[in-house]
Amino acid sequence: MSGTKQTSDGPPAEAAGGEVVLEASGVKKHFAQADGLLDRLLGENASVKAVDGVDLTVHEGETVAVVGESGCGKSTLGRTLLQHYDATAGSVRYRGTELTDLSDREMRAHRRNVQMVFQDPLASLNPRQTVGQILKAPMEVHGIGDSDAERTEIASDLLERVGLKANQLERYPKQFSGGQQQRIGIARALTLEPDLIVADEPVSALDVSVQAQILNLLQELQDELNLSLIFITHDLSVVRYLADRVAVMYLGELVETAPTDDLFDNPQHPYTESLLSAVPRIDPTARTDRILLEGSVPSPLHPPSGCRFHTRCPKVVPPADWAGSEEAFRRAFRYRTRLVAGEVDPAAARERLRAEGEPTDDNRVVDHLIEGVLGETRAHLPADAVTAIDEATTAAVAGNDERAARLVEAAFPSPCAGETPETVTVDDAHTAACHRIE
Amino acid sequence: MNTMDSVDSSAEATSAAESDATSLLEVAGLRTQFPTSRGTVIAVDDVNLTVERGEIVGLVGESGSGKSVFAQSIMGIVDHPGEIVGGDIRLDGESLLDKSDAALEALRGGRLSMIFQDPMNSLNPTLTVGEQIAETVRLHQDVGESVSLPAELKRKLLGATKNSEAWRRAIEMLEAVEIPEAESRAGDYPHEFSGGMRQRAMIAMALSCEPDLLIADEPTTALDVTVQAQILDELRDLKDEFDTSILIITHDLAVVSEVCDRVAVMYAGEIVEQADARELFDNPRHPYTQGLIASTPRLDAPNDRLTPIEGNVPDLIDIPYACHFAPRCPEAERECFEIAPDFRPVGEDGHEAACLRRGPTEEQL
Repeated sequence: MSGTKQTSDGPPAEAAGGEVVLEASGVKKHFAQADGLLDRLLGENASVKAVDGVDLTVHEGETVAVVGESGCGKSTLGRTLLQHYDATAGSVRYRGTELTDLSDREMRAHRRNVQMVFQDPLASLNPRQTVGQILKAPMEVHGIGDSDAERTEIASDLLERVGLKANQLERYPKQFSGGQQQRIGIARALTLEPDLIVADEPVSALDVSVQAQILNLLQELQDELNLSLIFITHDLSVVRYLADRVAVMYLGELVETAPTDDLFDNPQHPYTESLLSAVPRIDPTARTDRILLEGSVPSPLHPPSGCRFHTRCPKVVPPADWAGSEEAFRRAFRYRTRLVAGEVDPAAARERLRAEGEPTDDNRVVDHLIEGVLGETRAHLPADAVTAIDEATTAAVAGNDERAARLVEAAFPSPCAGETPETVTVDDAHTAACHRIE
Repeated sequence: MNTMDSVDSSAEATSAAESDATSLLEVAGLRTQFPTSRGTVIAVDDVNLTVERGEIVGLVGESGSGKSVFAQSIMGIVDHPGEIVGGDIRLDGESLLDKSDAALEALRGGRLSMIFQDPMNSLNPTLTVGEQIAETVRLHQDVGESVSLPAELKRKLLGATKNSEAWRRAIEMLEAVEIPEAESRAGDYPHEFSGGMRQRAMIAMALSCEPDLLIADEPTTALDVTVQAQILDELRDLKDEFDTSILIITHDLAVVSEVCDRVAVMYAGEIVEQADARELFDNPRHPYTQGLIASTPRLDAPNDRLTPIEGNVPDLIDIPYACHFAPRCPEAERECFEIAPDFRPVGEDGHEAACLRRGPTEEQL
């Protein structure tokens, strides 16, 4: 990181002192996956754990970014907080009122306080309604304005406030550019004078020059109206620009939460570190070594045990009695992960050897598999670890995958795979859930 | 803007082998347009661009800039009713516009390869990834008999046996793009791959025929940032390994800065500035490039405030003003609307911009 000027953004400290607008704790949203008749008969009731125990607090006037990669559950979290989805478990309080207990009718009254802005404005605007109709409809439902004329006036004001012209009320959404449509989406969210807006990737579909217009508009409106904003995005550069506080999400859980500058300057969780290292930078001197992650995000249907990131983490913790180096352990642990996930494929290895004209007996296949994953590391492993790997691979080649998994799990245990990490406070308002943090 | 100033000075050229005298790709005065009911859309308007051997060039622009149509023009795959109406595209000195459809077909998937934003649309869902790459390898090795038969039929007749040379090559290519367990994953169908792995498979396929030029149209836009980083590293390594020239088409300035040697900035059908990547980002000169950089949120240099470019990208039908950027330009004066700007040197190492408000600095004159 370049040590350039550190502009202190006022908001974090200030906002943290402000009144709590939204407080979520232990929020879960699981989707039933197997709803076919056969699945039900067989009692298979696995569910997609899209959001799995999230705590999040938003203060007055504060922008909290929820950042993560596709499939991490960030959009589901946003919708669950707004009660667009019924939470499977946990509590969502809006200024002290528990929203998850409310009936649909009771919730309707609350909807005016919490509004949403979507990624694709055109898809979220009714193409057959004029902008005026789109803006006035929610006012009618909630009884804002005494007459149509008054509502039209409010709508005109709103349109001007988001940078459009009052005389565009009679136009249809598709007559506007993408950026203008997003302005309309924002105007609609503002019709009911909410104090919290959840914006789900609101600028991701926009060109960079237009994106900047919308980001600045959101900021101005926020200052002017003292709005709180939950900003859901995959774009860390946008987060750095806009957010007061950041929550990093991985596979349904928040792994780290911190004031924005803290998160970027002093990331604690290995996932956050690798995420930050991957962001492309214009300034070559600001680049850091990439921390590449192996494998892909596991299925939220069967999330990994312990720390959910352990199957990809470059900093997995060895057990206390590990005799070799940390690096050797991590390499061996990676092999464990692949064997357990059934990613090691003896049949394909045999094909490969045959194609290369090599012998294809079991011993040769075992060697080939181990060589492929461990390479040089094998020489640096303690003797009993080598034995375990040989035995496990032999079992896998013999078709006994369960035995193979059991052997490597016993030989390479890690607290990361065994125990769920507690969320630890690192510093003021900076928390992370990782076994490496005391 | 009429000169082809890409050919290096003659002193160097004569000493080098003949093939080094010309650039790998030379696009001169290219114009591609689409007739519509409302008028003619000039998507690419008199564009010059060169790509040297072993070079990674970035073409940056926002939507509607014409950058993708530019790529399609090179590949000869402009959608009907669009057509190339002017200029020339030369690969190794040979014009592609003179070639027959069959000859172009042979070039694509041979010396010219392209990867797209959405790899799922370019992969055949009914064939395993390994079979598709092996097929490409076979087509490439034996161009003569392959073009007439549809790939699937051919596969059934000839069979992509797993012992074949082509299959082995397919696995090697998957390993080259770092697909884990390549020998096993080669037997998977595209839907069994994650988005990042599909894009790698596309790159593997594109490189399996050892193209001279790889055109990558928004290759990482649909990918998560950690996957994007891997793909960008991959492209750079592969350039070194296979000595492939790469033209990357993207909207993302940071991506360009990470991987490109040289950058051209495109706006409303025209290239407005080009320079070495470092020079362009250190010393952007065209008001559009400056505006683009000022409106980009930066992780590396946190912005106090973004400065957006006012207004919107123009409709490319009958643009009535000489400089296409003039109506949005904070520096535009009356002449900008009336006089088309020529390219002029504005900095180091062939740094050029097309803007009346920019001239050569005194040192350069």
